[in-house]
Amino acid sequence: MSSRSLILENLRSSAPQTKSESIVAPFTIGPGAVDLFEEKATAAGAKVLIVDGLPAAQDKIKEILAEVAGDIIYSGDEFLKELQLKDIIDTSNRTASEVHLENSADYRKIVFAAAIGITSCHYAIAESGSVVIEHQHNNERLVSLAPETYICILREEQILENRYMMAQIIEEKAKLPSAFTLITGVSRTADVALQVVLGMHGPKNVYLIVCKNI
Amino acid sequence: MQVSLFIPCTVDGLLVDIGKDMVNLMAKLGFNLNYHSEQTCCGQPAITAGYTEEAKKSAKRFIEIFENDEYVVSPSGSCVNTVKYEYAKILADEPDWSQRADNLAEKMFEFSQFMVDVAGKIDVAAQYAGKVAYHNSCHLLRGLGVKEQPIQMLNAVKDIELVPLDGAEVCCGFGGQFALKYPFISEAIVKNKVKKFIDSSAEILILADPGCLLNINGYLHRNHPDLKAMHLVSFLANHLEGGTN
Amino acid sequence: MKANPRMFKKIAKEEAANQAQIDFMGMVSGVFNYLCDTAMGVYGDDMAQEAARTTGGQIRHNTLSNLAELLEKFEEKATANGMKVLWAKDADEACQTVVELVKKYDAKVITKGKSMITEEIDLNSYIEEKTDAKIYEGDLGEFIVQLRGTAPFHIVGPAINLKLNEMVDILHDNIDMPQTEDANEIANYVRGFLRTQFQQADMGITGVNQAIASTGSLLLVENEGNIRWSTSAPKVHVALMSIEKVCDNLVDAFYLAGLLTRNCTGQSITSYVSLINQPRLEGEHDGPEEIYVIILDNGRSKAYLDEELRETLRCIRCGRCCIKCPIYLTVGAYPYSNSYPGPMGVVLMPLLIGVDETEDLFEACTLCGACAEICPAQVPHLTLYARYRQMKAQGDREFKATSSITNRLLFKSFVRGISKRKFYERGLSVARTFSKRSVKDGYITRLPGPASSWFTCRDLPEIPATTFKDYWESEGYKLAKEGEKDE
Repeated sequence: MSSRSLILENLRSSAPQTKSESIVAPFTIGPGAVDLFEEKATAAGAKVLIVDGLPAAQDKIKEILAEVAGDIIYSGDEFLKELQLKDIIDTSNRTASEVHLENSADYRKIVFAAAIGITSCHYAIAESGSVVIEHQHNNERLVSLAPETYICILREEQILENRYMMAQIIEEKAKLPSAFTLITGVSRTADVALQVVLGMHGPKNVYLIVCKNI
Repeated sequence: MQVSLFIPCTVDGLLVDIGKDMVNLMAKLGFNLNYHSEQTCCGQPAITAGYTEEAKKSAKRFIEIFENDEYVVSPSGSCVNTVKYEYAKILADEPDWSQRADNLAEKMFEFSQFMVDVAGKIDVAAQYAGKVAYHNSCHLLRGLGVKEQPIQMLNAVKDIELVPLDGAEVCCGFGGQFALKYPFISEAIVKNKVKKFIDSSAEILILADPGCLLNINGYLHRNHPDLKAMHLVSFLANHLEGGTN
Repeated sequence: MKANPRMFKKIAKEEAANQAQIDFMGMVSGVFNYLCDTAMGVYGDDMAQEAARTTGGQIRHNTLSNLAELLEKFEEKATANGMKVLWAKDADEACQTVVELVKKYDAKVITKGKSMITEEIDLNSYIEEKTDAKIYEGDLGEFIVQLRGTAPFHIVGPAINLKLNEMVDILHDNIDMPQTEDANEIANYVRGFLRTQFQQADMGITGVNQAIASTGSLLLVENEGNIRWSTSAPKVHVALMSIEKVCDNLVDAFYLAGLLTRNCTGQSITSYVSLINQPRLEGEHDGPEEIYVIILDNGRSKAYLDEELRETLRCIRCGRCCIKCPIYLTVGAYPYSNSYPGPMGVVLMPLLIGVDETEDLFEACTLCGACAEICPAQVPHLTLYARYRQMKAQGDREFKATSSITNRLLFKSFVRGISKRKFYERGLSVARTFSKRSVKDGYITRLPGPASSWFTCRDLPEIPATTFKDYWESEGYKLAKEGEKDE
């Protein structure tokens, strides 16, 4: 008998108990999802920048890029296109080379060498201060993981009150992307003598630019 | 109120004063006391060691002795916990008996639980000008859910200063046979408990379980003979306004 | 690690004498309990928090009520998503399955996400024995412990007990880290070292926090990024889960994850949560090309047959019970000698390796109930401890419990001794005579025989000449009557 049948047979041979409905009451939070998101993400180690309108968002990206040297990799996201991210990088007065995913045959080499990764996200969660990325074509996993600095640009309307809302939205999707990643602040460890060190295997600097009115 | 005393073996054979104090105190407060002289031990050691088949006999005997009483009250949270909750479990395969166990359970109370929840006697007219701390015994706190009752009774003592005890809800390391089987672990735990007691600056550590009392006082007697723990019943009975007698 | 809880007493004795370690654990548990309590505060007051634990317990109950159905549903969905689901009845089969995959993909470098189940089956040793692959634990603490060759000390802080200089020496000796005592520099050096391994790894191995039946997804939580790396960079991802790590839907999964992180590190959510649905699709540049999920039984389905023992499988491995357990906080993880230290292992290990082998785990317990009180999955610890003690007392073939004739006789005579007041008093009188010679100033200070261990650190009041019953019959009853008059 295969292990599969063996295990399932064992599990089936005891009478099933009645299943009680699990009721997860969603958190309810008042208005001010952006403020809560800012508070929680900041507490988790991210730098949250709230900007009003497209030009302000573009200026903020320029500011950060002016401070951080090195290669840039960014995902081929529609929102980043709308933000004209490519132009910002091109016009920014920097010597670093830029890469984006659409023209990338040598992706691994590039992403491992990049100093800055830029993506948008698909949802954000106020209650935990998380951004949520759907990984699929042009939204690669390592862009938000390998570079030392990570910038995520999102729209205010993407902020959901809580994780259960997100779970419900995902659950109802007809087709799931390869993976989702929830990023909450900066990766961390307390394994060295209980001292909190930020940026263990992931980016050390995380910027979350929340755009209003775009 | 008609109260039947359940005096656990630790009190009957060793800490007799707690029993005497309970009689003094409750009689003074007007309770009509009764004591079944054929009572022995509730059988807890056998139950916790897993000899539940064997312990059924003790449980049945206990039920027969006490089941016709109006209220049964005991100065041991741990033993009350056994009778109140463990009896019905070990007798589960004998529906008649588990029903009788449940009936008894409803009338069975730990001292402070009875005084506060049933009799409404929070203030026993005691007076003590000094600092005390309270240790929550596990079976009172997590077994019976008795948390506030002893505190309420202590707070009602005139002039008393009840100081916080760090880790008051942490086990003292007694655990019955555990203390004999793993004395080195038990020692480390009781040592820590006593350290917290000393740090609290209380003069007396009050608790409501003879098992914990044997452990903590036994450790204090050996290592800090100037310090003592006291059973809540004894503390109250010995500090009644206008003297104990 | 190979479980060997028979060593419990010996190791526990050494650890319990280490006062500095006990003080350290007291301090650390204080901090973590505070963080966890604060994090649980999001649900509201004490009652609301209890309600949250009840919800967690209910989700686990639902899983355990329909385990076969959920596993099959998960298998069906995950397979439709393109994952490959394999089953293993025991540790050997699971290890063998992984080794075959290592060979199939000719994996030379393997990185791991922190996982307890791979500790349970001692996977690293097995792979190292059977293949040439190099395995790197990706979690910093776990990596240090791997280099040191010892067991993890705590599920979240595997190396939490190591002093800074010990840690530095290990890293210096094994991976040439320059001497430094700066935590940032240490972490940064290991980051660089492991980064190379993550980048060249051929295979990533992880556990699973929850498998979701409705979507066929895997949910994994972490703070460092080792799981993200192991599931993003290598071409093959192998995920191991035990049969109970499945739940019905995503909302349930996120609810449990919230209880897990709040009770583990006191975080509302970990830095990273990965929800993995399928291997990389056409046009994607990263993510594994193949995902294997190995569902491990290892004795659990046998426990499942018993409705009481089944409750063990509620555990979500937050480890909160450990930092509430007076025994764990005194002796640390090493005496437990298995991958699940503290109450987590006490409820699980007897079912996996037998009751006789694990006797010290459930005997070295004061039944204080602090574990059960805090458990966000509502594992009924005390019921389980009682059950194991009963198995040991009465004997149980299925779970390898041999009863001791001596103990049985002892308790039989105890029960007989309390069956009549006459016998009971005779016993008391024997004890009184026996202890009389050891009495000093009203206290017994030592005794020979089975009770001798009481006196290693404490005294006992002498046994008075008269009992409470004697008092009652001579004086007490008169007072009681007075009480009656007053009323």
